[in-house]
Parts: sequence; C-alpha cells; structure tokens
Amino acid sequence: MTAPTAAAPPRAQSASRGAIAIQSGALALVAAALALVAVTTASNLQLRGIPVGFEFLNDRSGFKIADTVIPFVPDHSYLRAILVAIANTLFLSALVCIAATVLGAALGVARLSTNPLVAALAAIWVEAVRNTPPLLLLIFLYAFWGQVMPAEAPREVAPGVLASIRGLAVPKLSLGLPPLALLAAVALSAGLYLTASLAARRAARAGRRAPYRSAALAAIGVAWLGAALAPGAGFELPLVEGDKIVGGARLTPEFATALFGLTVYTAGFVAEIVRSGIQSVPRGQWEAGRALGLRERQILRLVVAPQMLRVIIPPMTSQYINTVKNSTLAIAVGYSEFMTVMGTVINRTNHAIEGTLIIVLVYTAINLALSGVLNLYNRKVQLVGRA
Amino acid sequence: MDSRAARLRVATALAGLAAILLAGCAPPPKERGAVPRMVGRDYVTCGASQGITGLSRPDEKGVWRGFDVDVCRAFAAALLGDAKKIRFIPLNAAQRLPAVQTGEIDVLSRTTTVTFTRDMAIRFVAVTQFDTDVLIFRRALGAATPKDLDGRTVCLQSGGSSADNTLTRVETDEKIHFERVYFDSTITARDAYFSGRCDVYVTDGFLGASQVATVARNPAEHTLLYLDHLLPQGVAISRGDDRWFDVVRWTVNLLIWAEQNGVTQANVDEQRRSGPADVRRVLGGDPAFGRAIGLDADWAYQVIKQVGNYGDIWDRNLGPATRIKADRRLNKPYKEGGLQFPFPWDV
Amino acid sequence: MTDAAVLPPRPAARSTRLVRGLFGSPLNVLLTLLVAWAVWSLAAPLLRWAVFDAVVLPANPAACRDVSGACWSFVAAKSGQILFGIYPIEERWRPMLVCAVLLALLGWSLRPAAWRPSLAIVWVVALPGVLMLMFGGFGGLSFVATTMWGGLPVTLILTVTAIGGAFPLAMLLALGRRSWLPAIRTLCVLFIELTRALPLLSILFIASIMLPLLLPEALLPDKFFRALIALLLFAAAYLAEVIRGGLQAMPRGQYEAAEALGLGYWRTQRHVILPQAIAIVIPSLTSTIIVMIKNTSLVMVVGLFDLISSGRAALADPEWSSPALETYAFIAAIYFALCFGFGRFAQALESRSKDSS
Repeated sequence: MTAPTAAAPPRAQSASRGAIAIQSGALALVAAALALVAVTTASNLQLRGIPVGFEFLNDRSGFKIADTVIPFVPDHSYLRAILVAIANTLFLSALVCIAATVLGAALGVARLSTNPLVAALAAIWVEAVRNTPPLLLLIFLYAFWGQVMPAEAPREVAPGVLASIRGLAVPKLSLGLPPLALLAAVALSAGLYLTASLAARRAARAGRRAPYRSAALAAIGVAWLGAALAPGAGFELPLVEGDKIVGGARLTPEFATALFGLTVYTAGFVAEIVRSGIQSVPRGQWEAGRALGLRERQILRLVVAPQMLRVIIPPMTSQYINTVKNSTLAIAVGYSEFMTVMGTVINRTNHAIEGTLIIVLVYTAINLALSGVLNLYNRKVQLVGRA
Repeated sequence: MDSRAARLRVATALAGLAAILLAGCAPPPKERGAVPRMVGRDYVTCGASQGITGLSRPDEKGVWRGFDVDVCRAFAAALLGDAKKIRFIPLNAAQRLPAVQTGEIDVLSRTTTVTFTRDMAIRFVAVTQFDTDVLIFRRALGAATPKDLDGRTVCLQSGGSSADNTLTRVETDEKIHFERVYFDSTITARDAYFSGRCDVYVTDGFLGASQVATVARNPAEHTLLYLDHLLPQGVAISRGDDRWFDVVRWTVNLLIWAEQNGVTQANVDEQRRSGPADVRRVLGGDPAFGRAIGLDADWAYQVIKQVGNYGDIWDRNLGPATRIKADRRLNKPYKEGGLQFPFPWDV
Repeated sequence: MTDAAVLPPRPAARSTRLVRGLFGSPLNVLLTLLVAWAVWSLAAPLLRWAVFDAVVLPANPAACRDVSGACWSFVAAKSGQILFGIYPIEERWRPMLVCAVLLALLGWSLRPAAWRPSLAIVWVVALPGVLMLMFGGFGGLSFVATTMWGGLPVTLILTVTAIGGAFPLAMLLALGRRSWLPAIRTLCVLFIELTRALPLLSILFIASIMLPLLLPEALLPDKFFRALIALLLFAAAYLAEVIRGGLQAMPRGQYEAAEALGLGYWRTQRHVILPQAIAIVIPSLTSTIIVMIKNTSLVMVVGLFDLISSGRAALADPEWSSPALETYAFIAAIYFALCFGFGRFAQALESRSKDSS
C-alpha cells in the first residue's frame, strides 16, 4: 500500500475487474493510436522518399543568424545553430524574468498602495496586459517603434540612452575583462557567497551568530567595485557620430521590442502574484510582531516575507516557465529565438521530423530543468516557512 | 499487493494484445499518389504565399489572384476540368517545403527557387519563372552598384531564403559587409524596410517589383537593382508520384506552348475548330494525348479556355495593364530572346 | 516596501481616505506628484494622437493625408476586411450572422439563470449550425472552404469551440490524474505534462505541418480544424491542472459522505466533488480561460487568417498610409472587450457564489 495522499479518494474498488477493463481499454486505445501513427508515418516516409537521420546536424549550416549571444557564422554546423538559438531564447527569457520580477513586485505593491492614483495606474497596467494577446502587444510595439523613433539621427530618449529606428544604445559597463574571465569572476563570486551562507547556517545551527554572509557580500562588492574603477574599465556612453552610433551597448529594435514587450506583459502577471502573496499574510501578523517587540524590518524579514514567499513561489515558478514559452512570440518581431531558427533549419535541411523532435525535446528539457530548480527552491522556502 | 501487481500485469498484457490487433486493422496503404486523392475529393490544394500582389494574394472579395495562383488553376482545369476546383493555402518560407513533403498541399506554386538540396526533398516539376534577386533601396542613398551599399542594413526574410545566399555571395564578391535583419515573412520584412528600419531590402525580383509597385507610398522613391544570379522558380510536388508529375509538367508545358503557337484564351475555340492540325491535335483532336496522360481528351482546351496561356496569365497579373508593369525579361519566348520554350508534343 | 504600502487601508470615510491617500504623508505627496506627471506626459500626447488630432470620417484615403493624429478612417473603411478577412464579399452576411449568434449565445449562457441542461443542448445544436453556415454548400449557399475564413468569426469559433471542448476533457484529465488506476493516472500525467512543457506555437507548428505525415488521410482534418484541435488539447492540459487544484482542496469527508450515501464514482464526482472543486478555483479558471482566448491569436503564425493577419492584409493597401497602430489598437480593443467582459462576468459570479454560501 502506498501512503495515502492528502485527500485521495477511497481505493476500495481498485482491485475490481472493472478497473482492469478500464485500464486495459485505455492503454489499448493509446497503444493503438501510437501504432497507427507509427505505421502511417513509416509508410508516408517511405512513400515520399523522406530520409530520416540526425547526420545533418554536423553539416555546414550556411546561413546567418542576426543578434546572437554566442558567435555564429555560416561555416558553423546546424548543431551550433541550434545551440546558438537555445542560448538566444534563454538569454531573452532570463532578462525578461529578472526585469519582470522587479517591475512586477513594484506593481503588485503599487496596486495595494493607499495612494489611489498609484493603485489605479497599477490596476490599469495589470488589466491591460491581462486582456490583450502578448503577440498583438509585440506587433503593436514594433510598429510603434517604427513610427515614433527618428529614422535618421538618433535621439537621446533618456540620459545616456540613444534611440533611432535602427536600435537602442545604452551605456555599457565594461570591466576590461575578456568574456571568459568575466564568467569566471561571476562564478567565483557566486561560489564565495554560497560557501559563506553554508558556513553561516552551520554556525547558526551550532547556536552561534556569525556574519559570514555579510562579510562575503562586502568582499565581493569591493572586488567588483575595484574592477569597475580599474583603468580601462567604466561606463562607456553611446555617442552620435554623423548618423551612426558609436560605443555603448547596442540593442536591435527587434530584441528591444521583444524584451520590453514581454517584460511589460509578464510584469502584469507577476504583480497579481505578488499582490495575492502580500494579501495572504493577515494584518494580525504585523501586530503580533510588534507585540513581541520586533522592529518593522524584522517583522517583514522574519515573519511576513517567509509566509509571502510560500504563497508566491509556486505561481512564480509557472510564470517563469511561461516566460520561456512566451519568448517564442519574438518570432513575430524578427528576433532569432529558438523556434525561428528551427524553422530555418527545417527549411534548409528538409528534416522536418527530426527538427520537430528537437523542438519538443529542447522545450521539455528546459521546462524540466527550470521546474526542477525552482521546485528545489520552493521546497526550501516551504520548509523554512513551517519550521 | 501481490494480487494487485499480478492484475496490473494482466491488464498490460491485455492492452498490448488489443493494441497489436487494432494496429493490424489500421487501413492498409490505399491507392497511392495525389491524383486519386484529388479526384476523390474533387479539388486541388495549392500552396500560395501570404499575400504578394501579382503573384498570389486574395483580393478584397476573397478571390486569390496572381501569376502563381493562375498556374495552379491550370492544374485544376487539366485534372478536374474546372479551374475553380482548387483551394489555396497560404504558407511562409519555412512552412512551404514541409507542406509539400507531408502532403498537406498537392502542389507548391509560390516563388520557390529550384535547387539541388530542395529537389532531393521534394520534386520540382517545371520552371514557371526565371527571376533574379533584387536590391531595393531609397533613391536618396544615391547608390549605383552593390558596392555603394557597403555597411548598410538589409531587411530580408529568414528561413534560408535564396536572397540570403545571394547577399552572402555579393558580400564575398565585392568584399563588403551588410548588417542583416531577418523577419518571418517577406511581408514583415517589406514593412520594416518601408518604415525605415533598413536601408536595403533584398528579395526575389518580381516579388520586390510587385511590392514596390503596389505597397510603397511613392514607388518612385525606390531604386530596384537587379542582381545577375539566376533564380529559376518552379512548381513542386512530393516525390515518387509520376502520375501527378506528368500532369503538372505537361500543363506548364501547355501554357508555354500555347503562347508560342498563337493559342490564346480569346481564340482557343476558333483554334480548336480551324487551327493548324498540330494545334487541333493538342486541343482535343487526338484522344491519344489525353489517354496517354490519363486525362480527358479536351484537357488542354479546358486549361487554355479557363486560364489562358502563359502570356495571358502574365499580362493579367504582372503585365503592362497592371500596376506592377513587370518586365518579362528572361520569361519571354525563346524566339524573342527569352528562356521560355516548350517541349514538343510529338515528333 | 513601506508599511503603508503593504498593509490594506484602515476603514475610513471615502473622501478622507482619498485625500489621505493622495496627500497624507510626504511619500504619498511625492508619489502623487510623480504619477500625475507621468500620466500627464504620457496621456496628453496619446489623447492628442487618438482623439483631438485624429480623423474618423470620411472613410477614404484622402481624409488621412494631412492628419498628424490617428487615421481611424482606415479602420472605418477597412473594418469589413479586418473583421471578416477574405471571406467572399457577397457572402459576408454569413460570418456576420455567425458572430452575432455566437456573441449573443455567449452573453446569454454566461448568466447563471441560463445554466440548465438545456443550455448544453443549445450549444450542441448551435455550434454545428454555425459551422455549417460558414461552410455553406447547401440550400443555395455557396461552399466556402476554411482557407477562406478569416477575422473575428475565426477568433470566436476557435475560442468557443476550443475552450468549450477543452472543459469536459480537462475534467476527465484532472480526475484521471488523481485516479487510483495507475495506468490511467500515468497516461493523464504524461499528456498534461508534455503539453504544458511545450509552447503553444510549437504545438500549432506540429499540428499544421507534421500531422499530415503522422496520420492517415482519412483521419486528417483540414488546417483550420487541426489548429482548433491543437488549441483544444493545449487548453485542456492547463484547465486540468487548475481543476486538479480544486480537487486537491476537497476535504476527504466529502468523498466519505458520498460513499456513505452509496453514490458510485461518477455520481460522486458529478454531483458532489466537481461542482465544489470548480467553485473553489473559479478565479484561476477565469485567468486560464482568458489566456486561452488570447492564445487564439497565435494561429496567425501558422497561416490562418485571424484578426491580426486580416488586419495586416488590409494594411498592405498602398492607397492608405499604412496606419498600423490604429489597426492593431482596433484589434486589441476587440480582444480586450472579449477578455475583460469575460473576466468581469467571472468576478461577479464568484462574489455571488461567496454571498450565497
């Protein structure tokens, strides 16, 4: 007997003949459907002379991809093209997730603000994105960009931010480090912080209070600040030279639209999640905290936030996964995300079946990995909350 | 516990057995090929573009118009005796080849360049148009050769289009570099160019000519620089289907032959009655022609009567009377210096 | 995050609350000024563009020539093409009628008073009727293939059929996922999780491009119905998870009570469990359904003429100065009306069921 789940219905009938009949029937139906699909596919493939195999992945791709995170040239293989496309999708999704979380948290708090103007503005935002298709939002924004931004000389739309119909240029923080060194530095920082927090926890369990975490943060901060101030590093502002932009970090309108549109859209959903998280903690908790003599910040950190997180994390998980899925919509504004590139690969190689299989596998893998990581975090939060 | 496991095993075994039985009952491959399928459902499905005036685009009344579309209508007229027995399915560049491979469409007539790699996946039947790529840019740029466009931003369709390859070739030949911006269809690429996103728009020649003539607010603002790399655009079907191959190939041949032998939509009745003997034979006078290809004896007459010859189709959709006024260039009959020629019907 | 922002307001008179909210604390004064400035600097040009400098009539290209604001004339002139796509113009009364019937039926069936078994029968009759009217091919009506359907009727038919069909399937899947039959449970979990792992776009891609290779021709629906089925299955997987949430929240006692009454599995589910479980999850059900309504816009990418693509087709007319923003705003307004209307209705329904309990 397996352990009964929270509200599992009674299993008295599980041993009956009917149960076997129903299950055999369902299995048979599914198996028959699969068999039918297999037989049909095999005969169609043979009939139409469609070769199947993954050898093509190593062939020279011969096409270009605009706007890639990982360098890509036509001499690279299809396999590399697919990896580049996955990186593009993940890059866009990650930026959207981060930006939408920050923006959405602010919006969610704003919706509950005692200031009616702030609350109303946040409510309009949330209702607007909840009730319009994201695809339409992206297409609209892209058209908007084309109509509003100057076609010739770039205009300074915000301090240090230049925009024209050709793209957006923002100040670039350059550390004078090659990308690999930068990556290593980031990994080192993360590793240091993790080690410190593990040590801190061990100390806490032993009943000591040790400021390992703050020390690590301070060390990391000083190191990065030092790197930023080192010669050859610093903010690089985009400048206009003639009708071209030099310097700064450049975003294409396609990427900027996809990033901005998806962020605005996702933030509306995050706001609702955050709002319900805040509302899930009863006022009494604050009052109880005060009665215990805790300061407001302590109440928020020790009492309210853990309970809020418990409510917020699970829907946020699906929101992050949705963001990865929604990033496919960037196809409509010309950003080379995974589905766009797979369309090109299928079109060039004529390996539609293999291409589709890759699409299914990649998204399933991303989905599984993401929900795995987030569930791990969720479990931690839930345990902390109940302890 | 044990009995449950045992029952589960029984259930699985039963299910497996049933599945094998059911799979055995799956309909055996019927008579193969597109022709019986099309005759059975009484219409032809044709892959079209997502809307290019003069090539394939539904007009405001919902009727598909254009050169590629009319070529497809000729197949319906030949096979089913009625040019109206056809359905058009709009496809973007990435969808068009899978749509042929999987049998979703019976024939693809959508500015698709014949290439070796594509022909290994689907089967090109005949060339309907000889085209070249065109670079479209604003006259104000003052460029005269591709070299003058060095460093410019180019809008184009993704999905491994021939325009992309041509652009790479131009880059190598001229030792210049373009910034590319890709879009999921020629329509979005075109809109991006017109909105000023790019300096240059590269696409197939006739398609570009049509877009400038019918969509640009002021066509005179744009320069069309035709490149000299030949793009034979063909109609394609799925592989391994001789019967349908015959119909498509010889219908296209009929269109070209009719123009070069003076048989037009206007005079086809007269030609059938009192034209030269070889013309009369093709138009239904010799039942052996129909029998050999498995069509009605008057199939050729029906095609010309309902759709017209190659020149009729061209003039109706791209010719001087239309807004596009496309130069036929290489698509003139061979006697006029073009590349279009018919295969003879008989020795 | 401040205390004031996190806590719900204390009850007070409405006007005092308003004043206090706007100017009660230095922070609120600052926020009010900031928001007022932002709204003004955004709303003023927007209003100028959309209302004061805009032109609506006459509905011809000349009207928009020297206009700095929005060219609503275009939407007025092209509304037929945007709303009904390339459906033959002389037959346009058919999609018009279809839209009217569907919208009226939707409005009518959303009232709880209409929730009787007869409602299901009305829909079961109405949907094939609507499809037959779109198809034609009988009683002197000319036949119109799905490749010619476009615009609003496509959006409405896809929405209503996909979500309507997904709902019963979702209930079965949710029950199946919590079933004590291991085979059924596994199949349901596999279906739900695999479907939810994939973006809708890739599912539509598979349905529109790959399916002809995978299925025998006799079983193969045309592209429109393939997209419809893809949307239906996609919606079912998401709705099933929402309903499962409701099922999980049901106390065990409900099952035991039903068992004590001698009800069988299906009668227990139908009369005791599902009605309560669904009532619990109405808010998330509503948001999932709204997402699914919005999802119908994705069929554009696989080449069906929904509202967005018919709008785009209308925009290609060179006589007009390509007023894209106006067109997309018009389409967005249609989606907004559909989704917002549905959301409001669901809210009313929820507060009603809370009042009654």
